[in-house]
Order: sequence, then C-alpha cells, then structure tokens
Amino acid sequence: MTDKDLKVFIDIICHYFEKTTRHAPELKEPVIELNQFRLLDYTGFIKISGNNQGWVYISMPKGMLLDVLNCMGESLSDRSILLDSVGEIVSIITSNAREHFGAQFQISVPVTSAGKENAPISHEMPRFLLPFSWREHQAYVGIALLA
Amino acid sequence: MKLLIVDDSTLIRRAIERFANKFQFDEIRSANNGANALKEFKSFLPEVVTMDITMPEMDGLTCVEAILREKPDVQILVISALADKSTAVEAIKRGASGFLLKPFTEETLITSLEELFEE
Repeated sequence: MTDKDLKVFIDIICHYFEKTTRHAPELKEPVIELNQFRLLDYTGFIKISGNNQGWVYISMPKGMLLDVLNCMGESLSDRSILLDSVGEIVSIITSNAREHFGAQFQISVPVTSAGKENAPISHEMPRFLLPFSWREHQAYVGIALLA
Repeated sequence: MKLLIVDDSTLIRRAIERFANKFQFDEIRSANNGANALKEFKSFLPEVVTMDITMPEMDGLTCVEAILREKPDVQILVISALADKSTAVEAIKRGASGFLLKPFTEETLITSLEELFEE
C-alpha cells in the first residue's frame, strides 16, 4: 500500500459523499492499526482477491448512516436498510478503486455487521485507517491489503 | 412501458425507483440478483432493465446475455461501481445499451435513461 494508493481511496471517499449527499467529508491523517478493531455501530466489509489480497471496510455510527440516508431521500431507517446501506457504500468505494488498481482488483459482495463483533478479518492483519468526519459525525475506512 | 430494476442493494433499488418515476413507467418491478432477475424478466417482459454487475448467485453481465437471448430488443442500462474501463467495454460487448457509474445522482440516472430512449 503506497501513499498513492491511499490517496486513491481518500479521493474516492470524498467523491462518494459529495456526490450522494452534497456534503464533503473531511479526511484526517491515515494511521496504522495493529491490534483490536475499532468498529462503530455499522460496518461493511469487502473481500479483495486477485493481484491484491485483503479487505476494505467502512465503519459508521448509526446517526451518520441515518443522516446519509436522509440526504439521499431514503425514508426507511430500520436495521435492515442500515446494514444494506453500509454494505453498498463500501462496495461502491472499493469498486471505484478498480480504476486505479485495474480489473485484477477483484471484489466480493459485501459482508455487514452491526456492533463491535463479527469482523471477518483477523485482528492480526495490520491495516491503514482513514478517519474522516462528515457533518458532525466521525467514521473511518480501513484498508488491509497485501500486495 | 415497463422497467425491471436489478440490484442486490435495497438502497439502490429504491433510489432508482424514486428517480425513474419521472418517466411514468406503467409498472416497475425489481430483483435482488441475476437469477431472480431472469425469472422475473420472463414473466414481466419489460422494455427497459437497469442491471448491477456484482451480485450473488448470477452476476449482472451473465444476466444481460441471458435476458437478451429471451428478448433481443430490450434496452439494458448497466449501473455499476466497477470503474475500470474494461468493465464498461465488457458490458457493451455483452449487449448492454448503456453504462452508468455508481455513485449516481438523480440527474445522471435520468440522463442515462433518456439516452436509452433516444436510441
């Protein structure tokens, strides 16, 4: 994972929220996370295979997801739509990255979780964390990729 | 005119349905994967289909080919987040009439559907 690769994800995250909600996120300094996952209320995971192996995930608080859905004009707000939405958001962000990584950057359907349990990734897998704020909410994208 | 929306995300299916209401389709139905879409297509026989690519059970590009074997004149708009150019080219090669990149807005979806109708 190079600085250029991280910049690709940062640009895609900004583009996603600007385009779908008309509110730009503010990205903070990337950090490396080595131990326990910091998972928020809802998390969507995408498994990567092909030339790169690993996972990309986005973890968001419930209030942020509800605000995002509201900006999109979605009236549903139950647990099912929140899980679906966090999965779709991470799927779009990761799939957009194929423009940079190429067609060999192969993407699974999303796996979603509510709460701090059931992360499909090993805690031992080091990952880059891209913290960001959107409106008054804090969330992050995690990238655990082996070249 | 009838529209079939195919996407594994409820959020996206509902957004497409809201945005497409502008066109006053006689009926809109949806399916959450390629296999269900093919079953729905055979009974519903829509003139227009929006099709995601990355879905469980049957991917969207395989479903595009299967649908076109059933009804070669159907207009299929592939709507995917897969941003590499080869994916869009592959969709058109398999017979899709258009390609729209996610994330989309109401404006970009409407423009893409209008382009289908112009054809």
